[in-house]
Amino acid sequence: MKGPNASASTKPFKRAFLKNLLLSLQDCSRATPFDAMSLHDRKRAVKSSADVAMAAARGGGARWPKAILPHASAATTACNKAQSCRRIVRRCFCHKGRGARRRVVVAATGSDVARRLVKRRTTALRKVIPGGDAMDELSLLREAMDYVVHLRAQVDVLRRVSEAVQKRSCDCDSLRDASPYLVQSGEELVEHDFVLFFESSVRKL
Amino acid sequence: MDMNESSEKGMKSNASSGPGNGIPVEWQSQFSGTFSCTPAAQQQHAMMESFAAVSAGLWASATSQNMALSSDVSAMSSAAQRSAGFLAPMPAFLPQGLSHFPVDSGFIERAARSTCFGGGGGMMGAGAYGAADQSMGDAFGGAAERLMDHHRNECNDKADLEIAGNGHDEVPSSEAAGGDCSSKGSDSKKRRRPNEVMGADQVHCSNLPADSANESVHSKDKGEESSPATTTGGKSKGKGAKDTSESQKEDYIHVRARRGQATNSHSLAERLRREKISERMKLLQDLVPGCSKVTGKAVMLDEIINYVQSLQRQVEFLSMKLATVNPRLDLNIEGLLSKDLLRFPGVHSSSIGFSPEMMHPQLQLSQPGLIQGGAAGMANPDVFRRIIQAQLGAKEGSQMPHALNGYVSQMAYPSLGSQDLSIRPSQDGFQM
Repeated sequence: MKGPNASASTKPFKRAFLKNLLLSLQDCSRATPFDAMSLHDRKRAVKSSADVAMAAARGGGARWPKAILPHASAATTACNKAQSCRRIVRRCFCHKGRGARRRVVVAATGSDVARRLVKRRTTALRKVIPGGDAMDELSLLREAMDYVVHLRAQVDVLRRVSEAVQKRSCDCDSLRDASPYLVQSGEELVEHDFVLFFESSVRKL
Repeated sequence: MDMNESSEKGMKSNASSGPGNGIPVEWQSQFSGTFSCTPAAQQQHAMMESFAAVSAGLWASATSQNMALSSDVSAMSSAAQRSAGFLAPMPAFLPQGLSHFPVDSGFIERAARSTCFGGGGGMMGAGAYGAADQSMGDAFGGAAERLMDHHRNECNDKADLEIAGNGHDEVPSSEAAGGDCSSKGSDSKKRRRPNEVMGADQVHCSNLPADSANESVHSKDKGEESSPATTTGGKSKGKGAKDTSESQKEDYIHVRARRGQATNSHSLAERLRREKISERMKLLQDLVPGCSKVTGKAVMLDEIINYVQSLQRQVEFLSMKLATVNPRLDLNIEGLLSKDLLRFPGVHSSSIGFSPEMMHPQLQLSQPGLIQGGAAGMANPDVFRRIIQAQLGAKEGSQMPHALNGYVSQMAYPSLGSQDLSIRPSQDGFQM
């Protein structure tokens, strides 16, 4: 049984996610020149790298990271095959059920309505959670819990990063205007000053 | 737990006979879904298999719910010893969870003095349980409520219903009422459950089908439980006995079928699955903000879906913001790392002096001094590049219109602070 994970610390995950994110962004910038990319492409690169970073940082404890990461090792191909088979079978049954249900008179009993609602929402949840197609309801709920926790951590990290970058760029501009001395000094010194200034600004947050 | 094991061995010798097979079935059909308790309770369930009395079942349900009850153990044991011998191990079993149970000892003696030991034990359990419920009050919360519901559903006896109702109403005179019902109920219990007697004739087993048929009728009024009722008692008895023996041999999660519910493996497994699902829904309720008052699977699922979708939209928005703010996308590594260091406690500030060295083009982020914690084995940057390029290429067609749709609304809030973003999930009126 899954214990309460709301109180679990996500700090290691956040650290790993940040590291992965920076690495992947660096690779992206090395691969394609970012000046040539449009805003949407850049956003997509950032988002996909964030998703991949989250999945990589999560490790092997859940099934949704494997759905995000397209690379499949030898061990996971068997699982993927089973999952895809399950997915296909479920889709066949779902389609069959839907067709059969249309011909039947709509039942007005409360429990039937509730059951239909639950079923519809379960399928919607499957679409939202990565890799949710091939799971039964029980594991779907567990994956949803896990995914929510890590998604929240991802949002938190991304927010901090974007704030930091934004603040730094603003301050960097103001710094450059205010103290030309910084620009003239060596690059290392500039970076070092930036670091210190950044540090102080972050402390004010 | 040693006492329990020895008692179980003692019980097994009694239950090995033919009639003993019928008894576990009766036993099985009385328990509600208390398996969802702690694993300690599950072990207790293993013990309980050998017991046959309804009262023991009720007691164990009380115990496994971790009620802090104090029992008049001496009175209990004396009463039990007056009853059949198999009830004797039970009080030894009781002190595990019962500590402060304000049961009227007079009531206990009254119940114990009643006709059949099985019925007496039952009344002991039922009446005491009612008193317990009255005294504990809100301490049980939903657990006791659920048990009472199960109890109400199981019993087709008015006396039992009365007791359950009394326990529920928290009337101070419930003990007296329970005592009144005890004589009535014990008679009926004696009538209805003659096969509780250890070493009873095999003839009594034939009463089981009638009993389970009776009980199944009354259990149907619980709408949520859609498990099929047993058609033939013999079939259920056979399967139940088989299940008992199987679950005794294998180390599965022991589920007790409620009285009147089908005891074949399918419905048991289904009930187990349903309980797991409801338990996980409760956990999800804690995760998703603002869902403490929501009851029901459908609404809960709706909230979860909304929350996940809002989180995913936040990710998109933030990545868009990052792409906007940083046109070169070369996030200043050491600056961000310093922020990382400041954010995560436990890292001393002297490591910040390392950061200018991080400007080295061959970024070695695997420095343990700076990055702590569980880092996945993605040290190879090529993997990232491959993955991201594959993803960018694959999602090109699908993401572009989606991105445009998403951004019409989101670009209207470019100045949204972080606080607004966090408020958004709860304000989300997004309908499916």
